[in-house]
Amino acid sequence: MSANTTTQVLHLLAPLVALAAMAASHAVLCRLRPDAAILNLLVVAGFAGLGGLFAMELLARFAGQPLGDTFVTMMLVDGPIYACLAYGYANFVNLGHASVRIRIYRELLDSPDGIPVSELQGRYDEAGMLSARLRRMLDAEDLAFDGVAYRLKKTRLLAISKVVFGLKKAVLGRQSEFTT
Amino acid sequence: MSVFVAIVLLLGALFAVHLIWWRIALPRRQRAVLLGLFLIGGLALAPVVALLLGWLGIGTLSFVQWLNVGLAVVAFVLAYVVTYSALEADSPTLSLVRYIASAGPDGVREEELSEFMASRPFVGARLSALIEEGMAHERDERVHLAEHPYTLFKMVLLHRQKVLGLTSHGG
Repeated sequence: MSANTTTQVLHLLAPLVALAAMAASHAVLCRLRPDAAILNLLVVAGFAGLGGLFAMELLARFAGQPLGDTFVTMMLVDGPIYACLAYGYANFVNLGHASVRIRIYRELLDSPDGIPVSELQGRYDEAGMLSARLRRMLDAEDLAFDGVAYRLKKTRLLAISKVVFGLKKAVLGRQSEFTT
Repeated sequence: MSVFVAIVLLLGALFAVHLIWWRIALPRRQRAVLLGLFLIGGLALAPVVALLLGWLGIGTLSFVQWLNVGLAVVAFVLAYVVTYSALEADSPTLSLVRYIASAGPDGVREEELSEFMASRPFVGARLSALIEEGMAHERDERVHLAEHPYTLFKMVLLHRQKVLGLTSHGG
């Protein structure tokens, strides 16, 4: 295999190795710190994945690729691919943690005779959803509560919401499923 | 650099087709159509991108480089399809964050948050979505799981329980 092909293969594998490093470190972190906020563990695991990406880029450099080319490929190709994969993984994990649909699915899976609609709606009432979300956001210090009112403490979720609601407007032409 | 240009051309063309299609008419199974559009459309457009690369004087890509382009398209479409779930259905968490942020430094009291949640029937909407997408069906006022349960949901739950060791319920 020529040096050129070797560096191409290393760049192809770099995001996959990084994702594997992220997923493996996340699994270990979840078992070591089961009570930690899931978002914090994902951020730490994301950095571990980044370490895997840098290691692969170093290998490409040692395989003979000029430093400038390695850097440009990492910034323009391998880094964005890893970002997409890491983002997909984080959402995959979060889907099992916060998705109402997944929870309903799990309830139905455990009930071969089905569940009455009224009972299902009772189990997932808006008050329960509100308290679960407030508790999670307080634990992760995204919100602050002074005994009277809730305020935003960290802006990371707000930044995500701006991107999501902006995309909704661009793709679907509306910002919410409950408004026209 | 040639791999980057190929990725930009391919994703740009696919995303343009997606936006135009969605503005004309929303498909019934939006996420399935999105996956099909990007994966099958990506394969169909690859020869056109190869021609464009030659025309732009960038040269031809090797087989490994095309695999890299393919990986980029798959990574992007997976990330986008995951995000798309949050586009087609409002996320209760992000809706709450937006509402609390809109109140500014005064913050929002719990009663106001309860009113806000009551004005948005998230559960009913998710239940309707499950039924509409064929993952569940309603019979005799009871909701039943479809005969062929959704593989992604199975994977999410298995990963959560077996790999991460998390057994407590989220939601």
